[in-house]
Amino acid sequence: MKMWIVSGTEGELIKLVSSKHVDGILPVGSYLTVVDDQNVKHVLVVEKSYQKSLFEPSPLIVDAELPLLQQDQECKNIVLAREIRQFPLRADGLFSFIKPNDVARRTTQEEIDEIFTSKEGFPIFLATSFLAQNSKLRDDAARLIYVKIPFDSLYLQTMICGQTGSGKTVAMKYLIEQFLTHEKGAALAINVKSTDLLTMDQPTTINNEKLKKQTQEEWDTLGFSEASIYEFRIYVPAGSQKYKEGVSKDRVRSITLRTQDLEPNSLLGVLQNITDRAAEALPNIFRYWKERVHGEEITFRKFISWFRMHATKENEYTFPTLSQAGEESRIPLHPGTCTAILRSLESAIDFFDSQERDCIAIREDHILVSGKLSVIDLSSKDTLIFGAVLLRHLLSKIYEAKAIKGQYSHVPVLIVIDEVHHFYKSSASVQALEELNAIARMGRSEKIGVIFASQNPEDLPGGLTSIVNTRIFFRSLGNVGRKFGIKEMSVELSSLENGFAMISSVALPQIKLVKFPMSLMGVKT
Amino acid sequence: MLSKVNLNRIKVRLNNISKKVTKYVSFVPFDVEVKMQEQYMSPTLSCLEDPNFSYPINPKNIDFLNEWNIYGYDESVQSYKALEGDLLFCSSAVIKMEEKYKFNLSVLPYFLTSMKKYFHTQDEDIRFAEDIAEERNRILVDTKVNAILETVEPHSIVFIDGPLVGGMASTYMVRMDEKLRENDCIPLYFVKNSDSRLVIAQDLKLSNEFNSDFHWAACSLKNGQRSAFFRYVDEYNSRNSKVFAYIKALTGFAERVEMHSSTFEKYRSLMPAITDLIAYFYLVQGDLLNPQVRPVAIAEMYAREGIKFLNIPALLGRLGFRPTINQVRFG
Repeated sequence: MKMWIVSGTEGELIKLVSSKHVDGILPVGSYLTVVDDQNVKHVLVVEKSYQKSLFEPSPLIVDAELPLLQQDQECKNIVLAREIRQFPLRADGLFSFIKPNDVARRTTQEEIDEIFTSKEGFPIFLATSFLAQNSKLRDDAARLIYVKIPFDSLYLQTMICGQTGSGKTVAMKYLIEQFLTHEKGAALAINVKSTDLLTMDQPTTINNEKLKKQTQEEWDTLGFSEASIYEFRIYVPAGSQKYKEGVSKDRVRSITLRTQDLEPNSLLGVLQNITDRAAEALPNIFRYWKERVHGEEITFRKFISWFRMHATKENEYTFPTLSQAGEESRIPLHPGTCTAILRSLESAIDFFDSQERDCIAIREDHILVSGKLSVIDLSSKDTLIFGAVLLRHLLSKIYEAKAIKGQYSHVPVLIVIDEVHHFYKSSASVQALEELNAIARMGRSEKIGVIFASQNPEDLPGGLTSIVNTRIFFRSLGNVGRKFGIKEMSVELSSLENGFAMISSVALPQIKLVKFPMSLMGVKT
Repeated sequence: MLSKVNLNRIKVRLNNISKKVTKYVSFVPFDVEVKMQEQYMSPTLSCLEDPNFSYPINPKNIDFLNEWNIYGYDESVQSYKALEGDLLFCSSAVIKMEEKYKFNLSVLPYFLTSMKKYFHTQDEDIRFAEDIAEERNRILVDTKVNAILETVEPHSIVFIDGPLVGGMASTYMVRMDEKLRENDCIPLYFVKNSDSRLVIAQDLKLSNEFNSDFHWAACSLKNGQRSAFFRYVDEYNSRNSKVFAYIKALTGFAERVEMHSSTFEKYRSLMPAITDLIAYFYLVQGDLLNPQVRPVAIAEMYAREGIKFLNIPALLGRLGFRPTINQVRFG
């Protein structure tokens, strides 16, 4: 039997040496179990692992072209591991030692289940790393080992980062799929690139034979056969490209926003790189226009005309405002700011108040349907600014419906925002993040989860990174992991292979390196 | 005050060598015989070859690795001076080259004292001794002889650290040597340090130029050469007879390999292959400043580890020994 023998400690870590039956190196991230003389099981995770040549031969024999002694080739695997759990706990309140000469073996799935007890959760594979190569953790019988991350952790908000092609999008699809299948919730996802999230009604197809075999093994291990059927709808802003190649046409609906329904704060979405002062002002300017100025027809076009009228030298670029509390005031804006706001508003004009046939004014009740995935497609040109307004509008309405009106209490919600920096700038003010913050903070009680995804975690607004409790890093550049609380194990984020990720989760803080399973739907390789 | 001494609990014995895997090939000398033209240089020393010639060795010739069992022996000793007497921890290791290095390791404690109450002690670990140095040597030679005889299997080449003949140990060593030879074993003894002048004393010119035989060998041999074989016979006890040669496998120092004359006679046809293997083992070890044959070096590693097992000062405190002042001051 393959065993590692405890030889002592180095700081907080347990040092182990491989027994003679071990003919390889246990990679970082592996789990070991020590059963002590009191039958207490200690589970350790490997943080450092290397080989030690016991009888190093002299370089002279290489120089002399002499054969090496076979006996001199003997190597040992030296392991430094951190104890993460022991069970059963002792009655006297103390924890047991791991003593020199205690013997460790690889941890079994049953022991993993024992220490990570979540029954309701999405399974992910534990993974290991050695020489910048990743592999899935296996037990002595070569079976894959996995843990279940509780669904509740999604309601404490999640951040997913990773370069293009690192597995970030596949992981998002997997999380959506698991959420719909097991939580029976409503998912809202923002698609910003190609058809990434638009084929979630189509079974995953893999052409690469090796990957296909690996994926099948993962699915077999997790007992996946075929995905549950869920309701799937793609919402495309009116006026933009409606149908895309490879996307099921019958899933697509054109949408618009009625200006009369528009939440004033949603207009913050049109503000790109302008001052906080202007950001504070625009919703109040819009509110003033909507409450005090408009005629019979409330349209975006008319609001822009009114705004343009005030953005003149004669009017000294001064605008009347109406606060949420009903207080009127006036605010002067810098001419450059006025121009920037006008430019942004005009770029989104066609998407508001559309009269297009079959176009629906999207509301929260389209989204908040149990077992439904709604994807808003913002991959077409010029739809991002509209998308930013739409997203804020919908989030605000979802918040209002669930938290204020107490509606849809039985429908958990998962909101997936890919490339989140398109919608919330890294320098976004507290006010700009207000509704997102509110949603994130009431997530646990109201079962609303938000997944913020980005290629670079530094693109995320600082205010958001502080409210996420699960951070998942796929392959990323530099030392971003350390900045965001991923540390300890000697794994370089930049060397992670596709699908492998470092994770930091309040739900299972001991878990570090994982491999996300392939989603059953929506992936084509 | 020291009460009952019980050293049994701190003995360590680890037997790792499996005798099942030994390879035994019936011994038929087949190699080219060394040409021997014995020249008597003195009543106790004769040269078995041309004394002025250096003989080449070929470290690539290692066929014996597959044909013979290979063993190595070394020991490591830790002494501790207490007011009550001397504590001696003798760690001895025999290694065997199987697919991996296998080892038998024993770490044995001894208490040497002149307290008369121990004069008649039957306890093997506690020795009454008025001459502690002599008793110490007896223990070391006993340990060596026992470890080797208990472990080494027939048809083996045994590489042993230390001389064959020297002082009171000679009798024990020669007896062990005989037993090994009866089992078709070739015991070889390796000496790193010695001020012996047996060779140079026979030639005025050499004794003018060199301080010791080692000095002579280091200067006269080139890398990859050995000296002629010399035979030495103890003038008082002809059983204490050995054949030796100096070997220089690595730059710098030469080493002396010696064996009993009977070993040499019995296996003389194998001597070229044996010296080749010795050269190979020096090269594999490859330590220019501390040249050793590989099996002895590995045995030394295990023997030293054996001493590290024990936290000796703490152990002695528990047993009730009190260190001498110098032991405390200088360790």
